[in-house]
Amino acid sequence: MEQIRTNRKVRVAGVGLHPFGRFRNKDISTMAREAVVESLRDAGIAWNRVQVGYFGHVYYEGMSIGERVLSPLGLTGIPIVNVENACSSGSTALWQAFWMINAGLYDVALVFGAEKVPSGPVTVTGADSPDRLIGGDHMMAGYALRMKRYITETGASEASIAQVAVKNRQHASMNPYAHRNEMYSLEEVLKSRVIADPLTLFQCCPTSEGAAAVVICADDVIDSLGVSRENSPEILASVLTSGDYNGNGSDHSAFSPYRTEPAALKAYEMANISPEDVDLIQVHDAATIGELQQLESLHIFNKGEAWIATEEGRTSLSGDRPTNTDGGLLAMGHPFGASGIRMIHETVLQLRKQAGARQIENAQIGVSQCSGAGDVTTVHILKA
Amino acid sequence: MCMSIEKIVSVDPTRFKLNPDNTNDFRLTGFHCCACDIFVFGAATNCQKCTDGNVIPVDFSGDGVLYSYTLIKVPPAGWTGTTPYVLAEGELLEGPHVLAELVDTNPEELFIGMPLKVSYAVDESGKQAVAVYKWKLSD
Ligand SMILES: [Zn+2]
Repeated sequence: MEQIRTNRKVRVAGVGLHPFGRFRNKDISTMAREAVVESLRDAGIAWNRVQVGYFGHVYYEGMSIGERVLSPLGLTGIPIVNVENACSSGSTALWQAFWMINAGLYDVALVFGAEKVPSGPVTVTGADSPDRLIGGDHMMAGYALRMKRYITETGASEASIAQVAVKNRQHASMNPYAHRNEMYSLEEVLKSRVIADPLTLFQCCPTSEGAAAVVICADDVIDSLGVSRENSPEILASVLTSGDYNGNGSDHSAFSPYRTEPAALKAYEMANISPEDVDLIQVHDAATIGELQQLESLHIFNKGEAWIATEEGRTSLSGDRPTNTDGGLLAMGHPFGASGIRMIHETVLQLRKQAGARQIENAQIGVSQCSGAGDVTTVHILKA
Repeated sequence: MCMSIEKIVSVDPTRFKLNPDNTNDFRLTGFHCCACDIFVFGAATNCQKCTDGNVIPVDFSGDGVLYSYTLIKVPPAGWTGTTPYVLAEGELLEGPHVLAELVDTNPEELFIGMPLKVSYAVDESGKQAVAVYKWKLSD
């Protein structure tokens, strides 16, 4: 084991992405391996230099899939950990790897995630859970409840919330890796079929397949690895929280909208920045309303005002708070184990100025945020 | 179609109790924390807020208000009821929020803040008759 060195700087050296969509004839380990190989190639780091691996994944498709993904690359004997933390599985894998390097246990880590999410409404509990009969275990219904409440409390219109989907599809139209990259109008979003009123189909993220990977390393070994420091954004903060008591907890099928706030505040403190310093944002937009409430939880906008900022175009690529620049969950789709790592992939491309047509100007600091069942929240802050 | 009450089981005995001798006697259940005076719906060994172990079982009043609601047109796997259905997030007078179907209602006429009452219906889709708690509008 490596010498313990605390408070080390950690950088993202390489990123890789398998397209998101439906790939019926491709198994999950093949998809994940392609993303992994791409991230190693992007970093210029040989597989046998990787010292630990963390794999984000949710749906059961056999044991130890992480090992199955990596074994064709060579059996190096490193620890490989399979991580399940709902929609935040991938970003939880990153959190674990980050702190292992920060604490000095390892110098180079591979973080990868993949999923093949079945079609249809996403449920959180097992098939024999009482919540199935009660009717409350329905991910999008949870967002619909929040949306109805948000409209009542803030005066937002359904159209202003649906605008999030129009904007994210516009971003995805410049992204060949997205599950859905055809654009649509506000009218088409509002007229698409109702899933759980007032949420329409185009305001819900597609269930998808896909994979993502990043290679992270300690700043103090980056020269010996032959990796470009300039191309390797620093991870200023990595925070993971679960649900805390918010005054009305108890029913675990109810999602509370602002559970991200404690994680966000911790992350800003760790990074020693304030929300005003953030140039680039990726948030968990499993539904349109989710993007608005996450932006408010991150203190990018005041509570109840993100819909106004969206109407004003402030969250689009040319706005001052560009959000979900690759299309987000709404257009990329949502393979649970991969989504959090996909956000890091996009953040790194933007900070490196490699985002092509969707490149934003002067991006120095990027935040990415994932939520998951169990009120799991992760917040990562990267700096160019 | 007459079913003896003994054969009806609660959908989740930690959240909902039905008196086997009286079908009109039912309630949502949970715990009260003696240390910080909050209520927890359903199973708890300790207080959700302060983690104190001094929690005592309680029956809730069954009264609440409509915190939010949605008309679900695409139901989740395992749903045995009719579709579409109204899912309500009700806030019990004691504080906890409870998700359940809101029955006997016209979704067009609902508004946040309406008074609610806990009810139940018997689900006979499986081998065993199951009492499932529901919300309904207060009279
Ligand atoms: Zn307490």
